[in-house]
Amino acid sequence: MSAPINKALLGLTLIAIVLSVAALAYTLWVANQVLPTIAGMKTFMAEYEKKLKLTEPITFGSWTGPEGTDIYIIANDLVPRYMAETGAKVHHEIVSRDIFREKLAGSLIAKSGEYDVIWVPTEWLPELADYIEPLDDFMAKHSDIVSPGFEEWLNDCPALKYSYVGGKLLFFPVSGYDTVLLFYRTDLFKKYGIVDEAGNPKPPQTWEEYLDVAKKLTVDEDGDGKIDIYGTALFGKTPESIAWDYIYYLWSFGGEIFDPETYKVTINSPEGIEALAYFSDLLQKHHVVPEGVLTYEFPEVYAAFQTGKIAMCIQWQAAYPGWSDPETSPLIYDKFSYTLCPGKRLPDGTIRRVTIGHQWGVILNKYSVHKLAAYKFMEWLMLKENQKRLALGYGVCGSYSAMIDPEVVAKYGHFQEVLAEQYKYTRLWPLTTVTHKIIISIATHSQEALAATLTPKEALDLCADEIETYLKEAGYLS
Amino acid sequence: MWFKKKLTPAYLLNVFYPYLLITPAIIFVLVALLYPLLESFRISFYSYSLQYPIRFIGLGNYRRALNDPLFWRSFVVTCYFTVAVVVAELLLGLGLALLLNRDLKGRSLMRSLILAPLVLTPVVAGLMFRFMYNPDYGILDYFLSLVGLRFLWVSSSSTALLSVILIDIWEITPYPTILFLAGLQSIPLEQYEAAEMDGASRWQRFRHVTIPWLIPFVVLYLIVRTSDAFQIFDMIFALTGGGPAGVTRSLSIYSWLQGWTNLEFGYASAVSYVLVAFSAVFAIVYVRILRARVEV
Repeated sequence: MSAPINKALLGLTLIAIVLSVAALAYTLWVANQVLPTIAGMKTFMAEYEKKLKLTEPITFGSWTGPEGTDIYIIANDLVPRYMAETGAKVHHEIVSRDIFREKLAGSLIAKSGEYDVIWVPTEWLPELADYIEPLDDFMAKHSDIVSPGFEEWLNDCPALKYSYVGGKLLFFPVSGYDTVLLFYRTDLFKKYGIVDEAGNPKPPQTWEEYLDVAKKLTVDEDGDGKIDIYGTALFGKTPESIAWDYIYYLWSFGGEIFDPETYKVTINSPEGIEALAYFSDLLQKHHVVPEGVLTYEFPEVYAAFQTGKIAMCIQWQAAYPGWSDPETSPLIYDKFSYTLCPGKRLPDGTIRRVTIGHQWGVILNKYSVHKLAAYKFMEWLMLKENQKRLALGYGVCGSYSAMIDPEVVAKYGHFQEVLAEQYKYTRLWPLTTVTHKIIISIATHSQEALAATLTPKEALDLCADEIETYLKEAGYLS
Repeated sequence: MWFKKKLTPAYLLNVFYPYLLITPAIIFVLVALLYPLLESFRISFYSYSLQYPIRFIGLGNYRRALNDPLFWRSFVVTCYFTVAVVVAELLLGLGLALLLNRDLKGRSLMRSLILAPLVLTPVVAGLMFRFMYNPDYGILDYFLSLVGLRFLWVSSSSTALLSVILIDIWEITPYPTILFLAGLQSIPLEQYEAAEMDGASRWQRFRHVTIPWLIPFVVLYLIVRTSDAFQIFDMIFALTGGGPAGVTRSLSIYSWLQGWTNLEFGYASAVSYVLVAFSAVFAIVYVRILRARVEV
């Protein structure tokens, strides 16, 4: 090869080497600029995806009530507000009361993701625990989406202790602690002389007084031979409403469903029979309740009091907002008051008052495919401003701080004071995996006594046998 | 060659084309009907409560049903209901059919009014009467009160089942009416003319011409309606839920309570299949007893 050619080749080779090094250096420089951006983009995309997931459409299943004034507020105020604030889509499916448990619990048990968030009462939790996403674990795993301070805020809810099953948090107690109060017509008490020395209405404190007052207020006002006003009313309907009524008679008379230590069934004890006899005699013997009480539950008792057909009743607190509204209850809105439920006078002179209570709230479906979005909705419902909105419409909510907010107190002050006092005597159903079956059994057999197809003893003996079978099957009794 | 001829595309299409057309229906029947039937029958042999481990217990659920007092009470309620509605609807339906078969003025309007309740679904009928039966606000008691009467309808354990039966009679009587009307209109007029010429009275013509011709329709009605009435669920569910005090709790309602309230799907399935067995027995008895009369 000639020398000029060799030089040319050498030159070309050197140029190629320089260009290669330059290209390599440039590539490294570009990579140094771009890689963080790629990584940044990845992070951005991940966060964006998570944000999208937080606003995925979810389905919230609840019942209608009608003692669901809280659900009405959630449906008409809170859900639209949540969607407007967050851009998320919540399909609130309100299920008829008659099939509420079948549809919602059934969908959970079928491991269907049909409902992402479900409105349930606390007594369902042990039974459905396997199908519910533990919220404490979920919050720990997704701590980046949990609002700051939220876990501490949850401790503000007095009913939070009922939200745990097996040590796992399954439930956010959105709504207030529900219980019953004695509501009575102040004008009728005055008209028929049931007053104290100062001339103020004197509501009954014991079951004996309750019966006496009910008799006095069962009146034929126009003299046509037909009762125009009954003294009181009962929840007499199955499949379960009557159980929610009878149970506090049972407890205040000193009875128990079963021994909490040994689970020995005691519902058919002498106290239980006495309570059921008193309960059924209100209809069968004393006729101080409307004849149709076997078909009465919340709506019927609500309407009966609202339209002046009964003078007093033991009714759920959810009735209060509607009864005190002049538009919906023009006949009674300014003519009624409320107090603690009567109880059993004990030998020492004290009164044993006990009422049933329960807590409604939300659970996260374990089989939901939109858990992040569902959780955010549940968390949002628990925030103080939203709890306050609930309290302003309903009187109570899950959060204690929201309940004692000055605006809420100004609207419901005295009602809340009485409720707070009643809460001291309120119990929940014993939480077992067969609680719902026990409620159905009590309802079925107490209605038999109320309808006089069986005596109270016969009814409770059958009930006791059934409950014992359930407890044995569930392993509480050997 | 015949072999090749058989397997030509045209031939195959000709042979299988009808089956292709009915395949969607068969798939639907298999998936929506047969599979649930078989699966529910299978789980009736299991302790299938969703709170506990599922385990095979053989005839345990069936034994439990036969020893369950609530099961037998529901069975008695179902039998009372079935006998009452089947007999009442048969007699009323026959009477209305005879009426509608006559050449009366306003017959078309009468037909429409009599047949109208049949278009309602049982749930709607139940819900409608739930309000109408209310002793405090219901329209029926309002009208009764105008004449000084009062009836508790479904609010009393002594009148609830009767109230349910009355709704069923009101709603379902149009069915035997249509059936017997069709039967009456299929009777050849010559039969009546021949009987009249032989001096038969109106009652004899009814007994010896009308009734024998209607027997196949009566058999059909009895088989269909008995099975249907025995499985009554939706109207009772909407109206009373089985109460008060279980006096309207049919076997279907009881099965539903066990399945969906107590979450005992195995036991609920077993109760359902006992119900199916009773229905089948009744159908066989009807066919055997009445087949001879039909053949004659």
